[in-house]
Amino acid sequence: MINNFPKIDLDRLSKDKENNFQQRLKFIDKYVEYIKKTPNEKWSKEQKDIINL
Amino acid sequence: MEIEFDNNKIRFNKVLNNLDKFTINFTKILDKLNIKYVIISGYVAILFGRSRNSEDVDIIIDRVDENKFTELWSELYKSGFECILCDTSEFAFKDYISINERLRFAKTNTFIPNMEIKVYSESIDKWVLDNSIEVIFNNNSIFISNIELQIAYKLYLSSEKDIEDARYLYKLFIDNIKLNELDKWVEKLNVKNVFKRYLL
Repeated sequence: MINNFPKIDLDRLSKDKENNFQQRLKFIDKYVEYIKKTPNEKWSKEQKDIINL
Repeated sequence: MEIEFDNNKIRFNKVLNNLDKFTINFTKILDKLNIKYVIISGYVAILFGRSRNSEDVDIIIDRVDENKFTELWSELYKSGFECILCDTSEFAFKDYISINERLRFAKTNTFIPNMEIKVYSESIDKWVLDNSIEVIFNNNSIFISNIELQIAYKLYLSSEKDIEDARYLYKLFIDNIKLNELDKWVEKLNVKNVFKRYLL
C-alpha cells in the first residue's frame, strides 16, 4: 500500500497538458512543411516504417 | 509532395503501408459488389501522410438488404476477412446492420487493424456518400470524405487526436480546399470556437 502519495497541483498539470498539446500542434505545422517539400517516395517510406512497426 | 487535384479526384503515389493495403483490399470487395462507400475520419489524414497509426478505418456504406449483406459477408470471408463481433451474417445483419450499429472486420485471426462499417443513417452520412472524393494512388482507387467536411467534423469530435488530424488536413490542403465551404461546415457543426482556437 502506497502511503506517501505526492501532492498534485491539478491547475499546473492542466497547464502542462495544454502546453504539450500546443507543442504537438506546432510539430504538425513543421511536419506539414516537411511533407510539402519532400518527394512522396521519401515521406511515405518514413510513414510506412512507423505504421508497419 | 507531388499531388494533383482535379474536381472530385485526387491523384498521387506513395510507398504503401500496411494500413493502406488493408484498406485497398477491403474496398476492392465493396467495389466488386457495387456497394457505394466512403472512408471517413482518421485514415483520411493517414492516407495523405499523417505520422500516426490507427487501430481502425471508419467507413460508411450505402444501405444494403439482407441478401446483399450476405453476399458481402461471403466475399469478405473468401478474401481473408472475418467479423470480430459476431459469427454469422444473419446475426450481424439483425443485431448490427439493420439497426445502424457499427460492425468490425479484420483479417482472419487478427484483431487490429479492423474496418469499422457503418450503414448510413443520418442526412450528413448520405451527403458524404453522395459527395465523396475519388483518390487514385498506385493504380488503386478509393473514395474518401469531402475534405472540408472532414476537417470540420474532426473539430466536432474534438479529442486532441481529432484536432491534430483536422489541423494536419487544413494546413496540408489550405491551397486546395474551398475555404468558404469549410466555413459553412464549421458553422453548421457549431465548431467556430475550436476552429479559431486550434486551426488559425
